[in-house]
Amino acid sequence: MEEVVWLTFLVSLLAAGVRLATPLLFAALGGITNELAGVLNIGLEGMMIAGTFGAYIGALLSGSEWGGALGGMLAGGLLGLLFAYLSITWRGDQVVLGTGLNIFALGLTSFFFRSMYKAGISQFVPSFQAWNVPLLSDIPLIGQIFFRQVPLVYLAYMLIPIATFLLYKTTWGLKLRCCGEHPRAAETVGVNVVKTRYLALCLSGMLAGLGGTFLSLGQISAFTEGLVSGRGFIALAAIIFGRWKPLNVALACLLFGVADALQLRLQGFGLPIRYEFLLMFPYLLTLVTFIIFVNRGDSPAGLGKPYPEK
Amino acid sequence: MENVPSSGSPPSPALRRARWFGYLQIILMPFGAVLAALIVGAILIALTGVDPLFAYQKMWEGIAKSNYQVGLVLVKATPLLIIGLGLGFVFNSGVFNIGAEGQLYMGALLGTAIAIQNWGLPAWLHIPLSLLGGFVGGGLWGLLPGYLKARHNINEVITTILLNYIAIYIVSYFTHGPLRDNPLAEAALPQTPEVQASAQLPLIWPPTRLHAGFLLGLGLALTLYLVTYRMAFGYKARAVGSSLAAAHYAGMNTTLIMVIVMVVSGGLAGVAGTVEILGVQHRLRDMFSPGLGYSAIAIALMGNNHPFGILLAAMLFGALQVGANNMQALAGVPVTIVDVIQAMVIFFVAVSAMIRWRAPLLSLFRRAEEASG
Repeated sequence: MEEVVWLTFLVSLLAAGVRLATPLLFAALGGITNELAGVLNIGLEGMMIAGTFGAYIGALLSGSEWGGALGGMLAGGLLGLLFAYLSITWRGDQVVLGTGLNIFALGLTSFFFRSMYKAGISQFVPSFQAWNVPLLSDIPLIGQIFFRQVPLVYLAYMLIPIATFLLYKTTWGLKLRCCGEHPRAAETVGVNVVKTRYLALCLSGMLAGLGGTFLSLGQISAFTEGLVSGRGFIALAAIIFGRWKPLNVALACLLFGVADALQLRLQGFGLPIRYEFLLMFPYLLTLVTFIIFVNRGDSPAGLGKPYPEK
Repeated sequence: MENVPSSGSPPSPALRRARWFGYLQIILMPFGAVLAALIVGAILIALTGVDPLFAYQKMWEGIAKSNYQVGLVLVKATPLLIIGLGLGFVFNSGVFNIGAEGQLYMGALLGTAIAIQNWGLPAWLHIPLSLLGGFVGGGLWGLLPGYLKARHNINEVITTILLNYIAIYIVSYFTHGPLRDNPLAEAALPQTPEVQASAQLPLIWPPTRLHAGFLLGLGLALTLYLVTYRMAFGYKARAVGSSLAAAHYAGMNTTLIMVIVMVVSGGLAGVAGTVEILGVQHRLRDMFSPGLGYSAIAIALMGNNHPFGILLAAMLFGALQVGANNMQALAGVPVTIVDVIQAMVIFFVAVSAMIRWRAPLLSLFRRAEEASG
């Protein structure tokens, strides 16, 4: 009997972990793309924030959750474009701009949201519903953990092999990584570094926007302020933790997702730990893993440096 | 190197004139940034269906309609000034501390913990002791990322931002738990007891709410100016910022310098948090800061990391904040427009290095510099 309870607990924990890792995964895959192209994107958080709101507006206007996903991608992509314009064309400091982008997204979404709803409460919009994958969802345990999720979860996990293939197995990926390792060398063999970095940032923004979409339309079917609350930074840490390899980064996201799921469950257990410490746990875990794993030294060599140099 | 007076012959008139233009540009640039941000803000306001001129009129009235409002501007500017001074100091050394928010919370926690104690201390002792607690709390919260950055080159942006979330939960724990006022009462809010009268900062311009914390901020601005531009340590700290390798090669203990500037920066954020409690709120509340630590980033950047520039920027943003409150009440424009304006100022300042490079005034400045030597 005891074992059955624990098994049920474990399955629900892992299923929630898979779900909670999804927004991190979208953002982290985006972040990998722009970092491999040589742009350090602290603004991932802001792109996710834009995504949560863009998705809400998209769903509100189109009356469909897929319209929402489009809105989320558009909002994130536009921020990516803005970031590209300021950091590549105007050669602004990427860290400073990224920080500005986070404040910008937070302020702008809150400004529009509060202008629309004076009471600060949004209406409900169409949201993603769980879709059981035929056959696979009937597998014991595995089916319950992985295959009874909302479609965005499947999309995120399908992107892992796609990203690995595109970034590491194609000429396009090789050229993109060249821009991150040695932009001048890339330029001499005919790669347009500026264009590649613009594209990488727009892609990254769209993916982070999908991560934001998951937060507003995959979990709560509404918009509130503070939905993202640091997930963009956790995704950044996951990228470093996973050494820029999509599969490893996905595992790092899963770890953080399960940690989040665990603290949510422990809150209901009546443990002698204050809930503030449980809420803190995912951030603490991220911090500790970040400190331990950050300096292995295989980050893209040109990361964070503007190009051309002068 | 700027600001270093050339020894020997006095600079030529052409060079002096060009330098003057250069300074003028450094001063005008941030105001141009704010003006541009306000114009974009006007477009956003118009998008929400409000007449931007009407909204900005309400903003201006909110700032200037009475002495009380002017006092309020300075009250709002005070924490921004103190945090901004610390951030300018640490940015000068090339460390991008975005953890001021967490450092503010930890400082306010320790400062308030001292300020609520009924030890029967006189005000001249109780206030400085509480502020010292604030400095220690914030400084310790800056020590870890500072050490990791300086010793192990671990990206301070990620560590400080994660520490922000952790600090906010720690304060949340204390205001709900050990430091909660009257915990047995059903309706008790998550806040500490009121700070002792002996720890409250005196009002200096009654009947406005302006308190002595503003004077402290002015004093700190002067002190940091002297440290940064007139003392050997400030020179070293700036050298670390302009070239870490060169500073190291010149025999400076760059690790120690980076840790010290980070602790000072965190400590000042902690002082700012304590000042906000001792001077305005009088109780530490859960989530008491509306992102002061993030706003101060824009202020430090806009002030060109210079203490006097930061003073001006802090007062400007204090005014924007007070004006925006009035604009929200009377024109229905959400106050978070100020965050958007702040972010745009950060954008403009971040790209202004390029604008300066392109600008005709500075090329004149450069030519004169080159011609003279």
